[in-house]
Amino acid sequence: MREILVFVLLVVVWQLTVWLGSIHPVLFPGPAAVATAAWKLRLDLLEATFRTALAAFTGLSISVIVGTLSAFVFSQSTLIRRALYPYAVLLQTIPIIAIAPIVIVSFGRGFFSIALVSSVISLFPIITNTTTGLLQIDPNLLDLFRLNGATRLQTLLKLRVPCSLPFLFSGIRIASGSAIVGAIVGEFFVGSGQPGLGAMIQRKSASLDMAELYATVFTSTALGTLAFAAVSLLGESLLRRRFGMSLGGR
Amino acid sequence: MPSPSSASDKRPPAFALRNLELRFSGAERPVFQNLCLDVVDGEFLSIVGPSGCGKSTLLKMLAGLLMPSGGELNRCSSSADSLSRIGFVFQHPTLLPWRTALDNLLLPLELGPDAGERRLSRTECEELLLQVGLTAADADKRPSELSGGMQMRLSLARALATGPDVLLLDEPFAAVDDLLRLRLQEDVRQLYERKHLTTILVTHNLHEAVFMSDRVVVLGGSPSKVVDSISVSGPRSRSAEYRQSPAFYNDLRSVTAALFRTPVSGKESGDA
Repeated sequence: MREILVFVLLVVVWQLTVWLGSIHPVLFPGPAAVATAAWKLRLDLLEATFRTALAAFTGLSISVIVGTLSAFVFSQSTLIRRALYPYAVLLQTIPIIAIAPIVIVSFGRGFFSIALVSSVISLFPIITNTTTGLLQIDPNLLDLFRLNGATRLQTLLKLRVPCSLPFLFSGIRIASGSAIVGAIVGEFFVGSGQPGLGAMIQRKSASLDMAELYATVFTSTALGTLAFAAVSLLGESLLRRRFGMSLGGR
Repeated sequence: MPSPSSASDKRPPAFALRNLELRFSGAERPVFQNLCLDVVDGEFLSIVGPSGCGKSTLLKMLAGLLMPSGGELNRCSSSADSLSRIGFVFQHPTLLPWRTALDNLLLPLELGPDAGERRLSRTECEELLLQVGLTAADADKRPSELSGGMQMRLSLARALATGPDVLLLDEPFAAVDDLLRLRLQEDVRQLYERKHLTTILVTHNLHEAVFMSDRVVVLGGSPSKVVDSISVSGPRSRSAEYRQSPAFYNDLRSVTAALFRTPVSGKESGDA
Protein backbone atom coordinates (compact mmCIF):
# COMPACT_ATOMS: atom_id res chain seq x y z
CA MET A 1 0.00 0.00 0.00
CA ARG A 2 2.74 2.46 0.98
CA GLU A 3 4.72 1.44 -2.10
CA ILE A 4 1.79 2.36 -4.35
CA LEU A 5 1.45 5.71 -2.59
CA VAL A 6 5.11 6.45 -3.25
CA PHE A 7 4.64 5.48 -6.90
CA VAL A 8 1.65 7.80 -7.35
CA LEU A 9 3.54 10.62 -5.64
CA LEU A 10 6.56 10.13 -7.94
CA VAL A 11 4.40 10.18 -11.06
CA VAL A 12 2.64 13.36 -9.92
CA VAL A 13 5.94 15.11 -9.11
CA TRP A 14 7.32 13.98 -12.45
CA GLN A 15 4.34 15.35 -14.42
CA LEU A 16 4.48 18.62 -12.47
CA THR A 17 8.20 18.98 -13.22
CA VAL A 18 7.51 18.60 -16.94
CA TRP A 19 4.65 21.18 -16.83
CA LEU A 20 6.47 23.72 -14.70
CA GLY A 21 10.00 23.02 -15.90
CA SER A 22 11.85 24.64 -18.74
CA ILE A 23 13.10 21.44 -20.38
CA HIS A 24 11.56 20.73 -23.76
CA PRO A 25 8.93 17.93 -23.53
CA VAL A 26 10.62 16.10 -26.41
CA LEU A 27 13.80 15.73 -24.35
CA PHE A 28 12.05 15.12 -21.06
CA PRO A 29 8.66 13.50 -21.61
CA GLY A 30 6.09 13.39 -18.82
CA PRO A 31 4.31 10.25 -17.59
CA ALA A 32 1.34 10.93 -19.87
CA ALA A 33 3.52 11.05 -22.94
CA VAL A 34 5.38 7.90 -21.87
CA ALA A 35 2.12 6.06 -21.24
CA THR A 36 0.86 7.06 -24.69
CA ALA A 37 4.10 5.87 -26.28
CA ALA A 38 3.91 2.59 -24.35
CA TRP A 39 0.34 2.02 -25.56
CA LYS A 40 1.34 2.76 -29.13
CA LEU A 41 4.29 0.35 -28.86
CA ARG A 42 2.45 -2.29 -26.81
CA LEU A 43 2.80 -5.11 -29.32
CA ASP A 44 6.47 -4.40 -30.00
CA LEU A 45 7.14 -4.09 -26.27
CA LEU A 46 5.31 -7.33 -25.54
CA GLU A 47 7.30 -9.24 -28.12
CA ALA A 48 10.58 -7.65 -27.02
CA THR A 49 9.83 -8.45 -23.39
CA PHE A 50 9.13 -12.05 -24.30
CA ARG A 51 12.38 -12.33 -26.29
CA THR A 52 14.45 -10.77 -23.54
CA ALA A 53 12.79 -12.90 -20.87
CA LEU A 54 13.52 -16.02 -22.92
CA ALA A 55 17.19 -15.08 -23.32
CA ALA A 56 17.50 -14.23 -19.63
CA PHE A 57 15.77 -17.45 -18.62
CA THR A 58 18.14 -19.46 -20.82
CA GLY A 59 21.12 -17.58 -19.39
CA LEU A 60 19.91 -18.07 -15.83
CA SER A 61 19.37 -21.78 -16.46
CA ILE A 62 22.93 -22.13 -17.73
CA SER A 63 24.10 -20.27 -14.59
CA VAL A 64 22.11 -22.52 -12.28
CA ILE A 65 23.56 -25.66 -13.87
CA VAL A 66 27.15 -24.39 -14.10
CA GLY A 67 26.88 -22.62 -10.72
CA THR A 68 25.62 -25.58 -8.72
CA LEU A 69 28.14 -27.92 -10.35
CA SER A 70 30.96 -25.48 -9.51
CA ALA A 71 29.63 -25.17 -5.96
CA PHE A 72 29.71 -28.98 -5.62
CA VAL A 73 33.34 -29.02 -6.72
CA PHE A 74 34.20 -26.07 -4.45
CA SER A 75 32.56 -27.71 -1.45
CA GLN A 76 34.47 -30.95 -1.84
CA SER A 77 37.97 -29.68 -1.18
CA THR A 78 39.52 -26.65 0.45
CA LEU A 79 42.43 -26.88 -1.96
CA ILE A 80 40.21 -26.60 -5.05
CA ARG A 81 38.23 -23.82 -3.39
CA ARG A 82 41.33 -21.80 -2.60
CA ALA A 83 42.72 -22.33 -6.10
CA LEU A 84 39.57 -21.52 -8.08
CA TYR A 85 37.66 -19.02 -5.98
CA PRO A 86 39.72 -15.99 -7.11
CA TYR A 87 38.67 -16.76 -10.68
CA ALA A 88 35.02 -16.83 -9.67
CA VAL A 89 35.53 -13.40 -8.12
CA LEU A 90 37.20 -12.26 -11.33
CA LEU A 91 34.02 -13.21 -13.16
CA GLN A 92 32.17 -10.80 -10.93
CA THR A 93 34.55 -7.90 -11.35
CA ILE A 94 34.87 -7.81 -15.15
CA PRO A 95 32.40 -5.15 -16.33
CA ILE A 96 29.53 -6.65 -18.27
CA ILE A 97 29.80 -4.04 -21.05
CA ALA A 98 33.32 -5.36 -21.67
CA ILE A 99 32.18 -8.99 -21.72
CA ALA A 100 29.26 -8.46 -24.09
CA PRO A 101 31.23 -7.40 -27.19
CA ILE A 102 33.78 -10.18 -26.64
CA VAL A 103 31.07 -12.83 -26.39
CA ILE A 104 29.24 -11.47 -29.41
CA VAL A 105 32.39 -11.37 -31.51
CA SER A 106 33.28 -14.91 -30.42
CA PHE A 107 29.87 -16.56 -30.67
CA GLY A 108 28.04 -14.48 -33.27
CA ARG A 109 25.12 -12.09 -33.17
CA GLY A 110 22.51 -14.66 -32.22
CA PHE A 111 20.33 -15.73 -29.33
CA PHE A 112 23.04 -17.91 -27.81
CA SER A 113 25.45 -15.01 -27.36
CA ILE A 114 22.80 -12.98 -25.57
CA ALA A 115 21.95 -15.87 -23.26
CA LEU A 116 25.67 -16.33 -22.60
CA VAL A 117 26.17 -12.68 -21.60
CA SER A 118 23.17 -13.05 -19.31
CA SER A 119 24.70 -16.21 -17.84
CA VAL A 120 28.12 -14.67 -17.21
CA ILE A 121 26.64 -11.87 -15.12
CA SER A 122 24.28 -14.13 -13.15
CA LEU A 123 26.70 -16.95 -12.39
CA PHE A 124 28.61 -15.52 -9.43
CA PRO A 125 25.81 -15.18 -6.84
CA ILE A 126 24.75 -18.76 -7.54
CA ILE A 127 28.26 -20.16 -7.07
CA THR A 128 28.95 -18.25 -3.84
CA ASN A 129 25.54 -18.78 -2.28
CA THR A 130 25.40 -22.49 -3.05
CA THR A 131 28.98 -23.06 -1.88
CA THR A 132 28.20 -21.30 1.38
CA GLY A 133 25.03 -23.39 1.76
CA LEU A 134 26.88 -26.67 1.17
CA LEU A 135 29.56 -25.78 3.72
CA GLN A 136 27.63 -23.90 6.38
CA ILE A 137 26.01 -26.88 8.10
CA ASP A 138 24.97 -27.00 11.77
CA PRO A 139 27.99 -28.71 13.42
CA ASN A 140 25.64 -30.79 15.58
CA LEU A 141 24.00 -32.23 12.47
CA LEU A 142 27.43 -33.07 11.08
CA ASP A 143 28.25 -34.76 14.41
CA LEU A 144 25.00 -36.71 14.20
CA PHE A 145 25.91 -37.97 10.74
CA ARG A 146 29.47 -38.84 11.77
CA LEU A 147 28.23 -40.59 14.88
CA ASN A 148 26.11 -42.87 12.74
CA GLY A 149 29.01 -43.58 10.42
CA ALA A 150 27.58 -41.69 7.44
CA THR A 151 29.63 -41.93 4.26
CA ARG A 152 30.73 -38.80 2.40
CA LEU A 153 28.05 -39.35 -0.22
CA GLN A 154 25.31 -39.87 2.37
CA THR A 155 26.30 -36.66 4.13
CA LEU A 156 26.28 -34.82 0.82
CA LEU A 157 22.92 -36.11 -0.41
CA LYS A 158 20.99 -36.37 2.84
CA LEU A 159 22.39 -33.31 4.60
CA ARG A 160 24.45 -30.84 2.59
CA VAL A 161 22.31 -30.69 -0.54
CA PRO A 162 18.95 -30.15 1.21
CA CYS A 163 20.52 -27.67 3.65
CA SER A 164 21.95 -25.66 0.74
CA LEU A 165 18.58 -25.22 -1.02
CA PRO A 166 17.56 -21.97 0.72
CA PHE A 167 20.99 -20.58 -0.21
CA LEU A 168 20.64 -21.76 -3.81
CA PHE A 169 17.22 -20.14 -4.11
CA SER A 170 18.33 -16.82 -2.68
CA GLY A 171 21.26 -16.98 -5.10
CA ILE A 172 18.86 -17.52 -8.02
CA ARG A 173 16.75 -14.65 -6.72
CA ILE A 174 19.68 -12.25 -6.79
CA ALA A 175 20.83 -13.66 -10.14
CA SER A 176 17.40 -13.31 -11.80
CA GLY A 177 17.59 -9.52 -11.88
CA SER A 178 21.19 -9.63 -13.13
CA ALA A 179 20.23 -12.15 -15.83
CA ILE A 180 17.69 -9.67 -17.26
CA VAL A 181 20.28 -6.89 -17.20
CA GLY A 182 22.77 -9.22 -18.92
CA ALA A 183 20.31 -10.14 -21.66
CA ILE A 184 19.47 -6.47 -22.28
CA VAL A 185 23.14 -5.52 -22.46
CA GLY A 186 23.74 -8.39 -24.88
CA GLU A 187 20.85 -7.31 -27.09
CA PHE A 188 22.05 -3.70 -26.94
CA PHE A 189 25.39 -4.71 -28.40
CA VAL A 190 23.90 -6.98 -31.06
CA GLY A 191 21.73 -4.02 -31.97
CA SER A 192 19.76 -3.79 -35.19
CA GLY A 193 17.73 -6.75 -36.36
CA GLN A 194 17.44 -8.06 -32.81
CA PRO A 195 13.90 -8.07 -31.42
CA GLY A 196 14.72 -7.82 -27.66
CA LEU A 197 14.36 -4.91 -25.22
CA GLY A 198 18.08 -4.10 -25.34
CA ALA A 199 18.08 -3.61 -29.11
CA MET A 200 14.93 -1.55 -28.78
CA ILE A 201 16.59 0.70 -26.21
CA GLN A 202 19.51 1.07 -28.57
CA ARG A 203 17.24 2.02 -31.52
CA LYS A 204 15.11 4.46 -29.52
CA SER A 205 18.11 6.27 -28.07
CA ALA A 206 19.73 6.48 -31.50
CA SER A 207 16.60 8.10 -32.93
CA LEU A 208 16.16 10.32 -29.82
CA ASP A 209 12.62 9.06 -29.40
CA MET A 210 12.59 9.93 -25.70
CA ALA A 211 9.02 8.98 -24.78
CA GLU A 212 9.41 5.60 -26.49
CA LEU A 213 12.84 5.14 -24.91
CA TYR A 214 11.38 5.79 -21.47
CA ALA A 215 8.58 3.33 -22.18
CA THR A 216 11.10 0.65 -23.13
CA VAL A 217 13.28 1.35 -20.09
CA PHE A 218 10.29 1.08 -17.75
CA THR A 219 9.25 -2.16 -19.39
CA SER A 220 12.76 -3.52 -18.77
CA THR A 221 12.57 -2.50 -15.11
CA ALA A 222 9.16 -4.11 -14.79
CA LEU A 223 10.52 -7.33 -16.28
CA GLY A 224 13.42 -7.39 -13.81
CA THR A 225 11.11 -6.80 -10.87
CA LEU A 226 8.71 -9.44 -12.11
CA ALA A 227 11.52 -11.99 -12.44
CA PHE A 228 12.72 -11.25 -8.91
CA ALA A 229 9.20 -11.56 -7.51
CA ALA A 230 8.45 -14.74 -9.44
CA VAL A 231 11.63 -16.47 -8.29
CA SER A 232 11.01 -15.38 -4.68
CA LEU A 233 7.45 -16.66 -4.71
CA LEU A 234 8.32 -19.94 -6.43
CA GLY A 235 11.37 -20.60 -4.24
CA GLU A 236 9.55 -19.71 -1.06
CA SER A 237 6.58 -21.96 -1.70
CA LEU A 238 8.72 -24.86 -2.90
CA LEU A 239 10.97 -24.61 0.16
CA ARG A 240 8.08 -24.37 2.57
CA ARG A 241 5.93 -27.12 1.09
CA ARG A 242 8.56 -29.64 0.11
CA PHE A 243 11.33 -28.93 2.59
CA GLY A 244 9.81 -27.20 5.63
CA MET A 245 12.37 -24.40 5.32
CA SER A 246 12.12 -20.74 4.49
CA LEU A 247 14.08 -18.56 2.11
CA GLY A 248 15.06 -15.87 4.57
CA GLY A 249 16.56 -12.55 3.58
CA ARG A 250 20.12 -12.72 2.45
CA MET B 1 23.02 -55.81 24.81
CA PRO B 2 22.37 -54.48 28.31
CA SER B 3 21.54 -57.26 30.67
CA PRO B 4 18.71 -56.55 33.07
CA SER B 5 20.52 -58.24 35.93
CA SER B 6 20.20 -57.07 39.50
CA ALA B 7 22.03 -54.00 40.73
CA SER B 8 24.26 -55.96 43.07
CA ASP B 9 26.05 -57.68 40.18
CA LYS B 10 29.62 -56.71 39.57
CA ARG B 11 29.28 -55.35 36.05
CA PRO B 12 32.08 -54.50 33.65
CA PRO B 13 32.59 -50.81 32.99
CA ALA B 14 30.95 -49.40 29.90
CA PHE B 15 33.81 -46.94 29.58
CA ALA B 16 37.23 -47.01 31.19
CA LEU B 17 39.26 -43.80 30.91
CA ARG B 18 42.89 -43.91 32.06
CA ASN B 19 45.09 -40.80 32.27
CA LEU B 20 43.22 -39.35 29.37
CA GLU B 21 44.68 -36.30 27.72
CA LEU B 22 43.20 -34.04 25.10
CA ARG B 23 45.13 -31.21 23.56
CA PHE B 24 43.88 -29.19 20.62
CA SER B 25 46.61 -28.31 18.18
CA GLY B 26 47.95 -24.86 18.84
CA ALA B 27 46.41 -24.68 22.32
CA GLU B 28 48.66 -23.59 25.16
CA ARG B 29 47.47 -26.17 27.67
CA PRO B 30 45.50 -29.36 27.24
CA VAL B 31 41.76 -29.49 27.90
CA PHE B 32 42.15 -32.67 29.92
CA GLN B 33 45.10 -34.20 31.67
CA ASN B 34 45.24 -37.33 33.83
CA LEU B 35 41.52 -37.77 33.52
CA CYS B 36 40.45 -41.10 35.00
CA LEU B 37 36.87 -42.29 34.98
CA ASP B 38 35.02 -45.59 35.00
CA VAL B 39 31.44 -45.64 33.84
CA VAL B 40 29.66 -48.69 35.18
CA ASP B 41 27.52 -50.59 32.72
CA GLY B 42 23.88 -49.68 33.25
CA GLU B 43 24.43 -46.67 35.51
CA PHE B 44 23.04 -43.19 35.05
CA LEU B 45 25.98 -40.84 35.40
CA SER B 46 25.89 -37.07 35.41
CA ILE B 47 28.86 -34.87 34.63
CA VAL B 48 28.83 -31.40 36.19
CA GLY B 49 31.45 -28.71 36.52
CA PRO B 50 32.11 -25.03 35.96
CA SER B 51 31.49 -23.70 32.46
CA GLY B 52 34.38 -24.26 30.14
CA CYS B 53 35.67 -27.29 32.02
CA GLY B 54 35.07 -29.51 28.99
CA LYS B 55 31.94 -31.43 29.96
CA SER B 56 30.57 -31.52 26.44
CA THR B 57 34.03 -32.16 25.02
CA LEU B 58 34.35 -35.21 27.26
CA LEU B 59 30.99 -36.47 26.01
CA LYS B 60 32.13 -36.06 22.42
CA MET B 61 35.22 -38.10 23.20
CA LEU B 62 33.07 -40.83 24.70
CA ALA B 63 30.98 -40.75 21.52
CA GLY B 64 34.10 -41.18 19.42
CA LEU B 65 33.67 -37.79 17.76
CA LEU B 66 36.95 -36.58 19.23
CA MET B 67 40.10 -38.63 19.63
CA PRO B 68 42.13 -38.25 22.82
CA SER B 69 45.71 -37.16 22.32
CA GLY B 70 46.99 -39.35 25.13
CA GLY B 71 46.00 -41.99 27.65
CA GLU B 72 43.46 -44.73 27.18
CA LEU B 73 39.79 -44.63 26.37
CA ASN B 74 38.32 -48.09 26.40
CA ARG B 75 34.82 -48.70 25.33
CA CYS B 76 33.68 -52.03 26.62
CA SER B 77 30.78 -53.06 24.49
CA SER B 78 29.35 -56.45 23.70
CA SER B 79 28.62 -55.37 20.16
CA ALA B 80 31.27 -55.00 17.50
CA ASP B 81 30.06 -51.87 15.73
CA SER B 82 30.57 -49.68 18.77
CA LEU B 83 30.05 -46.38 17.01
CA SER B 84 26.50 -47.05 15.95
CA ARG B 85 25.56 -48.35 19.37
CA ILE B 86 25.73 -44.91 20.89
CA GLY B 87 22.68 -42.71 21.06
CA PHE B 88 23.46 -39.01 21.29
CA VAL B 89 21.06 -36.21 22.20
CA PHE B 90 22.23 -32.67 21.54
CA GLN B 91 21.31 -29.48 23.34
CA HIS B 92 19.04 -28.61 20.43
CA PRO B 93 16.77 -31.12 18.71
CA THR B 94 18.92 -31.02 15.51
CA LEU B 95 16.15 -32.46 13.38
CA LEU B 96 16.01 -32.28 9.61
CA PRO B 97 13.19 -29.83 8.82
CA TRP B 98 12.26 -31.47 5.52
CA ARG B 99 11.66 -34.88 7.05
CA THR B 100 8.62 -36.03 8.96
CA ALA B 101 9.01 -37.17 12.55
CA LEU B 102 9.03 -40.76 11.35
CA ASP B 103 11.74 -40.12 8.75
CA ASN B 104 13.81 -38.19 11.26
CA LEU B 105 13.51 -41.15 13.58
CA LEU B 106 14.70 -43.52 10.86
CA LEU B 107 17.63 -41.32 9.76
CA PRO B 108 20.33 -43.11 11.81
CA LEU B 109 19.34 -46.40 10.18
CA GLU B 110 19.87 -44.92 6.71
CA LEU B 111 23.45 -43.93 7.44
CA GLY B 112 26.67 -45.85 7.43
CA PRO B 113 28.15 -48.33 5.01
CA ASP B 114 25.66 -50.96 6.12
CA ALA B 115 22.69 -48.64 5.65
CA GLY B 116 19.42 -50.36 4.95
CA GLU B 117 20.38 -53.59 6.68
CA ARG B 118 18.69 -52.57 9.88
CA ARG B 119 15.04 -51.77 9.59
CA LEU B 120 12.27 -50.65 11.86
CA SER B 121 8.65 -51.34 11.06
CA ARG B 122 6.09 -48.58 11.31
CA THR B 123 4.74 -50.24 14.46
CA GLU B 124 8.18 -50.32 16.06
CA CYS B 125 8.64 -46.65 15.26
CA GLU B 126 5.30 -45.74 16.76
CA GLU B 127 6.23 -47.76 19.82
CA LEU B 128 9.42 -45.69 20.12
CA LEU B 129 7.45 -42.47 19.80
CA LEU B 130 5.13 -43.64 22.57
CA GLN B 131 8.10 -44.45 24.79
CA VAL B 132 9.36 -40.88 24.61
CA GLY B 133 5.92 -39.38 25.20
CA LEU B 134 4.82 -38.70 21.62
CA THR B 135 1.83 -40.26 19.88
CA ALA B 136 1.50 -42.29 16.69
CA ALA B 137 -0.33 -39.29 15.20
CA ASP B 138 2.88 -37.26 15.46
CA ALA B 139 4.72 -39.63 13.13
CA ASP B 140 3.76 -37.82 9.94
CA LYS B 141 4.29 -34.30 11.23
CA ARG B 142 7.20 -32.12 10.24
CA PRO B 143 9.40 -30.76 13.08
CA SER B 144 7.94 -27.28 12.47
CA GLU B 145 4.55 -28.67 13.48
CA LEU B 146 5.91 -29.94 16.80
CA SER B 147 6.50 -27.88 19.94
CA GLY B 148 10.00 -27.43 21.32
CA GLY B 149 9.43 -30.12 23.95
CA MET B 150 8.05 -32.55 21.38
CA GLN B 151 11.04 -31.92 19.12
CA MET B 152 13.33 -32.77 22.03
CA ARG B 153 11.36 -35.98 22.62
CA LEU B 154 11.68 -36.86 18.94
CA SER B 155 15.41 -36.22 19.16
CA LEU B 156 15.51 -38.67 22.07
CA ALA B 157 13.54 -41.27 20.10
CA ARG B 158 15.97 -40.91 17.21
CA ALA B 159 18.87 -41.58 19.59
CA LEU B 160 17.12 -44.79 20.62
CA ALA B 161 16.30 -45.92 17.08
CA THR B 162 19.51 -47.85 16.54
CA GLY B 163 18.97 -49.78 19.77
CA PRO B 164 22.03 -48.28 21.48
CA ASP B 165 23.55 -49.62 24.68
CA VAL B 166 24.82 -46.20 25.69
CA LEU B 167 22.86 -42.97 25.71
CA LEU B 168 24.77 -39.69 25.81
CA LEU B 169 22.84 -36.53 26.67
CA ASP B 170 24.53 -33.18 26.11
CA GLU B 171 22.56 -30.63 28.16
CA PRO B 172 19.42 -31.81 26.41
CA PHE B 173 16.96 -29.67 28.37
CA ALA B 174 18.98 -26.46 28.51
CA ALA B 175 16.81 -24.75 25.92
CA VAL B 176 13.34 -25.62 27.24
CA ASP B 177 11.28 -23.81 29.87
CA ASP B 178 11.41 -24.85 33.53
CA LEU B 179 8.14 -26.75 33.79
CA LEU B 180 8.83 -28.74 30.66
CA ARG B 181 12.34 -29.34 31.88
CA LEU B 182 11.05 -31.03 35.05
CA ARG B 183 8.64 -33.21 33.05
CA LEU B 184 11.36 -34.23 30.61
CA GLN B 185 13.71 -35.07 33.48
CA GLU B 186 11.10 -37.38 34.98
CA ASP B 187 10.27 -38.96 31.63
CA VAL B 188 13.88 -39.61 30.71
CA ARG B 189 14.61 -41.05 34.14
CA GLN B 190 11.64 -43.39 33.79
CA LEU B 191 12.77 -44.35 30.32
CA TYR B 192 16.17 -45.20 31.79
CA GLU B 193 14.56 -47.28 34.53
CA ARG B 194 12.67 -49.29 31.92
CA LYS B 195 15.47 -49.66 29.36
CA HIS B 196 18.41 -49.97 31.69
CA LEU B 197 20.71 -48.15 29.29
CA THR B 198 24.05 -46.81 30.41
CA THR B 199 23.26 -43.11 30.36
CA ILE B 200 25.65 -40.18 30.68
CA LEU B 201 24.22 -36.72 31.14
CA VAL B 202 26.13 -33.48 30.86
CA THR B 203 24.38 -30.67 32.67
CA HIS B 204 25.08 -27.45 34.52
CA ASN B 205 21.92 -27.87 36.57
CA LEU B 206 22.68 -29.60 39.87
CA HIS B 207 19.01 -30.34 40.67
CA GLU B 208 18.81 -32.12 37.35
CA ALA B 209 22.01 -34.07 37.97
CA VAL B 210 20.89 -35.26 41.40
CA PHE B 211 17.33 -36.00 40.39
CA MET B 212 18.21 -38.01 37.32
CA SER B 213 21.40 -39.87 38.06
CA ASP B 214 22.90 -42.58 40.27
CA ARG B 215 26.25 -40.85 40.43
CA VAL B 216 27.48 -37.34 39.84
CA VAL B 217 31.00 -36.68 38.64
CA VAL B 218 32.51 -33.23 39.11
CA LEU B 219 35.01 -32.00 36.53
CA GLY B 220 37.28 -29.11 37.31
CA GLY B 221 40.71 -27.63 37.29
CA SER B 222 42.81 -26.51 34.39
CA PRO B 223 43.62 -28.74 32.60
CA SER B 224 40.45 -30.43 33.62
CA LYS B 225 40.11 -33.75 35.41
CA VAL B 226 37.65 -35.60 37.61
CA VAL B 227 37.79 -33.89 40.99
CA ASP B 228 34.94 -35.64 42.76
CA SER B 229 32.45 -38.44 42.37
CA ILE B 230 29.33 -38.53 44.53
CA SER B 231 26.91 -41.43 44.68
CA VAL B 232 23.29 -40.37 44.77
CA SER B 233 21.35 -42.29 47.40
CA GLY B 234 17.93 -41.89 45.79
CA PRO B 235 15.74 -44.87 44.94
CA ARG B 236 16.00 -46.53 41.59
CA SER B 237 12.48 -45.59 40.68
CA ARG B 238 11.97 -41.86 40.95
CA SER B 239 8.95 -39.67 40.53
CA ALA B 240 8.26 -36.00 41.10
CA GLU B 241 7.84 -36.65 44.86
CA TYR B 242 11.50 -37.55 45.12
CA ARG B 243 12.33 -33.88 44.55
CA GLN B 244 10.71 -33.08 47.92
CA SER B 245 12.45 -35.81 49.91
CA PRO B 246 15.20 -35.15 52.49
CA ALA B 247 17.43 -37.67 50.68
CA PHE B 248 17.29 -35.54 47.52
CA TYR B 249 18.28 -32.44 49.45
CA ASN B 250 21.11 -34.23 51.22
CA ASP B 251 22.58 -35.33 47.90
CA LEU B 252 22.04 -31.93 46.38
CA ARG B 253 23.94 -30.41 49.30
CA SER B 254 26.92 -32.70 48.88
CA VAL B 255 27.08 -32.15 45.12
CA THR B 256 26.82 -28.39 45.60
CA ALA B 257 29.56 -28.51 48.22
CA ALA B 258 31.75 -30.56 45.88
CA LEU B 259 31.29 -28.06 43.12
CA PHE B 260 32.16 -25.19 45.47
CA ARG B 261 35.27 -27.08 46.54
CA THR B 262 36.34 -27.40 42.91
CA PRO B 263 39.46 -25.26 42.82
CA VAL B 264 40.83 -23.45 39.86
CA SER B 265 44.05 -25.42 40.16
CA GLY B 266 42.33 -28.80 40.35
CA LYS B 267 42.23 -31.27 43.22
CA GLU B 268 43.23 -34.91 43.29
CA SER B 269 40.44 -37.26 44.16
CA GLY B 270 39.88 -40.98 44.01
CA ASP B 271 37.40 -41.98 41.40
CA ALA B 272 35.64 -45.22 40.55
